Amino acid sequence: MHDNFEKEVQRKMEEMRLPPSAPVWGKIEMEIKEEKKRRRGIFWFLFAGLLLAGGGWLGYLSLVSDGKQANIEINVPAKKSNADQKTSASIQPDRQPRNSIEDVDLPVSIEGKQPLTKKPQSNSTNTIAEKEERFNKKTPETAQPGIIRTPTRKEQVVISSIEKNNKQGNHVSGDKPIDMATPANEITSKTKSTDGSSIVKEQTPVITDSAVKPITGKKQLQPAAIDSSLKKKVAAVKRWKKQISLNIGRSSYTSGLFANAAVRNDVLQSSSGVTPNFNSAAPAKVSRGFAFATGFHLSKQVSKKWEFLVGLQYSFYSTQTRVGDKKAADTTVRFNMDKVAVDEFYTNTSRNNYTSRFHVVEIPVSFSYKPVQKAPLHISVGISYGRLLSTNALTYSRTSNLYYENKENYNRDYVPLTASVQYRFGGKRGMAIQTGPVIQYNLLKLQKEDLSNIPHLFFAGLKTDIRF
Amino acid sequence: MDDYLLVKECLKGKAAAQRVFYDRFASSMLAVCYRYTKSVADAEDVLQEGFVKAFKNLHQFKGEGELGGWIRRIMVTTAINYLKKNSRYASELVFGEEHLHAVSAYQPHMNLQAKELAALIRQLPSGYQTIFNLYAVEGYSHLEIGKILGIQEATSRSQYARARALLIQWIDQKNNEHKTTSYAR
Repeated sequence: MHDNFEKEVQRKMEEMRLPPSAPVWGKIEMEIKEEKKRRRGIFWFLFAGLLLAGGGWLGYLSLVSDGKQANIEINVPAKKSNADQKTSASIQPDRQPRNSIEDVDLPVSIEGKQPLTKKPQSNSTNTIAEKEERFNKKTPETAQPGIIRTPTRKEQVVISSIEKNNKQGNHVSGDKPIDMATPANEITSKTKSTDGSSIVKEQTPVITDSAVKPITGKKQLQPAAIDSSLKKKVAAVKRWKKQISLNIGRSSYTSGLFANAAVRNDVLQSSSGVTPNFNSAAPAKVSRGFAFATGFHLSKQVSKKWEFLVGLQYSFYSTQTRVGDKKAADTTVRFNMDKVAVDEFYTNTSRNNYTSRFHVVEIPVSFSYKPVQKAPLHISVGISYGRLLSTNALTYSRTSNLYYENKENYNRDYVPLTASVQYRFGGKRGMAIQTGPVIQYNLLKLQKEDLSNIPHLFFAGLKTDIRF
Repeated sequence: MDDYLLVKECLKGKAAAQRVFYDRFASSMLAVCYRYTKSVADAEDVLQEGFVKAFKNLHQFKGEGELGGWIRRIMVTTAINYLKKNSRYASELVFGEEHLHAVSAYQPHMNLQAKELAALIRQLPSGYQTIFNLYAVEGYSHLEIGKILGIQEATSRSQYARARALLIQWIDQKNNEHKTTSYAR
């Protein structure tokens, strides 16, 4: 139990105040900031990890589904009823996966008396044979000779020549156009009468009723039902497009202009007879340097006009600074209220060019907007999270008026905002190339203690993407 | 700005609010740290560590009780951890088994200034100083002190009685010095 003595002591001690010295708050503030950065670092690390894991998962899904997709693509047309078979050639080839058209629809088109002109040309006929061969190898039970006989390459040449002639109006048999309703046998015979070569002899069994049989055979191969969820999954994965990007341009610091103005002011003052004040020492002019970025992206169409992109890229930025001679001497410079020992430094006499290089790995996330549906113009805005891998950039000490290497002074985190306008060349389905100007502005300060007035890194250049 | 609002602003990471928070409590908390240590530099080290802890754990302050009391508890804990970690103090915080020392009923006159009293408390050996501060100033029970320092409750009682007796002796001496000086004038 507390008696009077304790109470008196307590009262006296409560009264006591002792103001701390000034640097205490500075140290506390620094520690709080460090803690904040650490937490932010953890957050971004986790975020980046999640993105990478997500990207990896999607990539894995797309790889896995490629195999499954091939089966599904072969199987899907065969799911159609026999009644549909006759019209399968007109099942909008564009909407069907290419394999299925080539493997299944071509023979049907002849049987189904559809115009051959809608069929793929000679290029695709090459793949027909190859793919069919592959299919037969995969499914030996269906590859029964005589029953599932599919067109060979030579046979396809004949078919395409018929197509060609039909298109041009050069009818195979005299001046009479080939009646598509004519049975395939007749076509063959007509061809035979024209060419009269051994090729025709080879064709005979091809263009027969047996041409339909592969479908029948494949139909027997079909599972009773294709898992609808798998189909959905495949469709979802299919919507992701892959893209390789290359940005080439120049990088600099955004407030370099203001810094240069300060330098010019100093020069003007000294030339006009005013003694330059040591305190007005300013860093040398910073000029632009070569920069590039290359990476891999996944893009997904989220609506008719909007597209979402995420990826991973390596960026290289550089800037040029004029510095003086390199001196190897022990000295101390002020940095963040502390003194830092430096064993070599550059004077601020603008004699030599010094290239500051920044190697950064970034995870960009962006949205692309297509303002006009018919024009392949894409406007993109995005944000990235990057980590500085290494740099040789120098730190300017205003008090000592020198440059020295201080890696601690450079922020490891990069959060650049990106905007670009690109024009897309290439088909909707195949490979496409898009190119256009890009600008990038790093939201985070480049240096922790910025005495050179170079807070933000800026990049401008040309962005080219190859989509596949 | 009241304490609750101040905490809210600090939690948003506003530097200005953090500075206000520091300015509001720094001098009173340094006095707390000063009583546990032997030098102002050590006290400032404890203060710095305590404030960093306070800012980190500010989200744990639920507004129950006074903010000042909450920070004070952090400072006291930080100070004790500092003493335990620091070799200069750690050796004096080892308490052996001692016979119970009775607390005297003597009440000295307290004509001393707060700073003078604090200086006398700081002259006590670290073990006595810590237990005296915890019991007489912070109001912890001997049981709690035993748990904090990892000692027996009886040891805490005994140490406190000795510290108290020593301090009263010094206070009396100081009082006598004051009297002599005033007579001389």
